[in-house]
Amino acid sequence: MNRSLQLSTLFIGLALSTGAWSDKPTFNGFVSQAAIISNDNPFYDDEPDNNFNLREIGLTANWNLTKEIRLAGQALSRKAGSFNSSSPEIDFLLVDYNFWLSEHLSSGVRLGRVKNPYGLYNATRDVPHARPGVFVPRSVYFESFREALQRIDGGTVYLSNTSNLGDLNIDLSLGSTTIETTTVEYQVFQKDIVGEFKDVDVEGFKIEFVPTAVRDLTLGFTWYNAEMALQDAATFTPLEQFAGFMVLLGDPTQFTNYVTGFNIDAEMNLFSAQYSWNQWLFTGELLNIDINTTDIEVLHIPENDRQAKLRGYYLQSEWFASQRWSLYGRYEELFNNVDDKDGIGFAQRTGGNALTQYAKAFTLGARYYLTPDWSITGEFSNNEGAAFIAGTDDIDYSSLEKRWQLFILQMSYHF
Amino acid sequence: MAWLSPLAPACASPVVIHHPQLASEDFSTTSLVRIYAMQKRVWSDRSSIKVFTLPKDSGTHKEFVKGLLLMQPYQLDRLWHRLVFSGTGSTPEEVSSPEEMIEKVRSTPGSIGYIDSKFLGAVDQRMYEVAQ
Repeated sequence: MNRSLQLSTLFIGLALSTGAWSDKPTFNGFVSQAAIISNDNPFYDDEPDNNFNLREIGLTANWNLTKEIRLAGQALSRKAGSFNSSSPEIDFLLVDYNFWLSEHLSSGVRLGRVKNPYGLYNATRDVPHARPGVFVPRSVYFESFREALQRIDGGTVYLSNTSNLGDLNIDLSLGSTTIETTTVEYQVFQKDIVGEFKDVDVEGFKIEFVPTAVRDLTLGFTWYNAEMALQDAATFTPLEQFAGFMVLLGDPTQFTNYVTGFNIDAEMNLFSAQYSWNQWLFTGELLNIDINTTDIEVLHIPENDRQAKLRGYYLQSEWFASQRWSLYGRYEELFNNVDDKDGIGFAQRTGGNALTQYAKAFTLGARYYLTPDWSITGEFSNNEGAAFIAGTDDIDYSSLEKRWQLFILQMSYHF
Repeated sequence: MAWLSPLAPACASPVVIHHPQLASEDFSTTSLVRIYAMQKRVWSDRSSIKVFTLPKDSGTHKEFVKGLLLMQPYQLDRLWHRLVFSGTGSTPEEVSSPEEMIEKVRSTPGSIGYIDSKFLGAVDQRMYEVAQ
């Protein structure tokens, strides 16, 4: 348990011991289970087949101790793909001190483990009823950066102001997080190499504005920087180095077996817009990431730094046809490198599959509420490229289909 | 502020009720939206706002959201989900009936709620805005 999480636990203990709270705690929760039909490519599984490898369970507590001080926490169990264990983890556990509170201005700080307020959906990306479908749009909220972005051990300073122009919300975040899976390794190397990307330093801010003149419009901009290094990387003796050089002379794409250093610095710029018109909700987000890979070493020999620009965007429409039914459609694209959109350069350089470097998808779906708490969501997506597949399973990346279909049914409950 | 407020109409429709001591507060649509989105958390004297709602599947709730907040129920649902499941806020307290709503709002300082106007006969006149 790191220091900020220990601190928030201490604050919570102190707050409870005073007994001076004004409100009772409230509890909420959710559970979901998906059935995935993916016969062309593996999806949350090792092989192209049907699977049930997507399941979420969350329990949330919220407690207003005083007008200014609030405690909140969420335990989350998420099974997503054959790699992930579903052991429960603390998704957030925080103390919220709302130190300035007036009719038109509110400002405060949240300390502990906090959700990362990135874009429109990141903070609730694992909450079934808060998503516009089975998933948050994968072009912007892709799986391989999920752990780096989902939460921060540290803090967030927030400010919200209402004026004649509109409502302005600003969040500043600083802290670190830990990656438990090998998704980043699979994203970069398409295999689990020696060493791991574990500790991530994160900093950023988000600005959201709702103009008074058009209250159904929300505009947002998020800037984030995430930095991570390959830890516990392989080391080689001079003799092993020599043997490694011989192998690489014959097949340079074997370099993934000899990586001794790798640093990733990702700077993200995310533009968001959402407009509500009667029963319709239109959403679009555009993500640009400048990815700098530095301190690259193969067999302890430094390599040149590399830069790439990732781009993802989606356009989405939701129609809330009735109290029970909603329908949605989304078109989205993701390119891991905008200067190598079809991934051919990546394939030549690394021996990896070019298809993993981009994705284009058209998704149609429907959600039906059996009761206000129970819902079933079904969606079909037609995909080109395999960037949405990478990272969650031990897949044979050499034999992926370029064009593939995916059908998912998801049952969810919340209270 | 009565001319800006959701007034008590002649036919049955949702009407805002509030604690008797809040008559001078701002109950304009903009203010109501911010209160029900849980963004405005204190009144002009910085005392806490306590927000009550009827069940989501009740007709009065749907009419209140559409008619007085000028929003769709799904928008408010998403806002509340985002608050509670991201750890950034609290959601209103749900009451089960108009009778409970009237009693809770009457007895809880700083509180606000809504009922169908056909129940206004049972409500203290200081608890709602009357058309001039």
